[in-house]
Amino acid sequence: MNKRPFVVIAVAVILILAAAAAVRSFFWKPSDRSEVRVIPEGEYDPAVWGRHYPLEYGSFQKNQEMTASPTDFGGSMKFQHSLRQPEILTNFKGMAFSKDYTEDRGHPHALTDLKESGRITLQSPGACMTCKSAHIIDIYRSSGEAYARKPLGELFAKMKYSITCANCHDPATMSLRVSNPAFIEAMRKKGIDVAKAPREEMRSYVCGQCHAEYYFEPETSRVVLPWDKGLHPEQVYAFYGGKPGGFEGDWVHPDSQTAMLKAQHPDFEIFSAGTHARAGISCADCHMPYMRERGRKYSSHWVTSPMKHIDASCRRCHPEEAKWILSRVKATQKNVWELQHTAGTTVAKAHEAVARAASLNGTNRAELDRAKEYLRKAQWYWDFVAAENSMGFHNPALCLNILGQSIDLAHKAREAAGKAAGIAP
Amino acid sequence: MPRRNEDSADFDAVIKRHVWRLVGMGACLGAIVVVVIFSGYHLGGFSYFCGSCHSMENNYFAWKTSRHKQFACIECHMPRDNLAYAVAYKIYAGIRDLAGETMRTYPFTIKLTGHARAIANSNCLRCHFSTVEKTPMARGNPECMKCHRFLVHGRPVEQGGNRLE
Repeated sequence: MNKRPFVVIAVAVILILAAAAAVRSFFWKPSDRSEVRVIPEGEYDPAVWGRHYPLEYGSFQKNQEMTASPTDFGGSMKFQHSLRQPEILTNFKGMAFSKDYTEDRGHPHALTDLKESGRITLQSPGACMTCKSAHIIDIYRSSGEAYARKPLGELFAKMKYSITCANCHDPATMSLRVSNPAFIEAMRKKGIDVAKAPREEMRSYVCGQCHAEYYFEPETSRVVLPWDKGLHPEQVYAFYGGKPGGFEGDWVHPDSQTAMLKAQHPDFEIFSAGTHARAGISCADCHMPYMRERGRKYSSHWVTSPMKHIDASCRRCHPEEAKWILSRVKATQKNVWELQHTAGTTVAKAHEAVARAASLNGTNRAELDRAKEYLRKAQWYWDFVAAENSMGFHNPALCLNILGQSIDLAHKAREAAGKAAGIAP
Repeated sequence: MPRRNEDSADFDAVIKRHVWRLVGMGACLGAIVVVVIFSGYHLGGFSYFCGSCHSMENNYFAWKTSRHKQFACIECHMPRDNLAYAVAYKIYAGIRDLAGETMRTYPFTIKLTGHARAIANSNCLRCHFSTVEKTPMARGNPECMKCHRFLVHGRPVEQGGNRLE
């Protein structure tokens, strides 16, 4: 048999491979530049943007996926929080969060989740859509703050897309922008012009514009972020104590007759005092890390738990193995979860104690009011962690601290309620 | 087709007649191969060669402005005390890098493998051991880069964003 053709073929294959490797490695390199394509203002369909920015769009599409969290908390699958934390049913009694409180599913689902939520009706204030759709931009432009009082059902007719590219990007330059008017206003009061903020800060502001605590101002129903005194839960609580714009609380608890506050995903507040924020890390550094596909660099738009891509997120700074990092995050979350659950159940018991004291004859009213004040603050501190999206990881020290305070305050509420009812503590 | 005997006899005769010429040709070919391999090994040790790969750009430019810029990549990233290990590692790492570069499977965040980490660490100590040997850090296996991880290649934030033009 003549082996020559095989040798020739083998040599040819090796030469072709070597040539391909040399050309691909040294001469024909992937470009690190993207050309800006101007997209018309008011274009909210992510697929149109995706035509020009395929890598970002491809990762954005992954937000559609509904998956469990790599840790035991969070994730993008709908489930009722009250199954795991039955104390929710007591603590939010008399308001919508006791009826329906599901885990949220990610940006492309925000509008659907709002429509499906048992907490709202078509008559709910239009302010509810502020952070659920890119259409806030033209709705706010055409009706100004009046949109907040319009019935939600009327605004639904104008909304097609959920949270999309336009919420965070200027369509002409692709630079980052904030579209929630409430955030712009709150930052202006702090002396920060978000239109001129440096890019590194915008990489947190675009997330913080919605992942923040807010309240609806009575009368106007407009969204206001309660940051006048600072971002710390104690400062926010003190701000609410001043009854801003006549706002006394989100609802009055039917058992304990206490004016309660509902905390709403204060991710930005909790994170901004934490060790990562202090080190100059932005939200996007971990949640939208730089990736490469086919050699091209892009920022991942799969906004999800960084535990799904530890190498790209954590290991840019932390040299430890991914397995070790995940175990540390899980340990932190477990510590926070245990205290959160304890705080929640203690607060629930405090509601019962205050209700019992109030139902008796000859209760000391001054003492009962003190019990209510303790209870309001205890629930606020518990909820500030419970409503936050990281199970404490965004700032473990602060979360554990306020959960500890919450437990203490709930016990104080029970003591004061006992005293009010004439029962020795 | 089996060769016929006459062919084989002719072949032997030709070999015998030109034996020294063939030895010379073989030696020349061998010398060329040796020169190519050695110069490849040598050229592969130049830092600009490492930096010519797309995946290495960030690390290359960060190193160029670092306090270790007077040292070549290989002074930290190649085994220095064992030539056999160095050759084996170079072949392994070279094939791995070339495949990654050709297929474009490299991630944005280039990380050290276990081997590579141990090699770099041993090279930190090659120069700096006398500084740390009397400190508690030197006990066990000191891992320099657990703390000095940003020393040469900078902080992630310095690696910039996306270029939009």
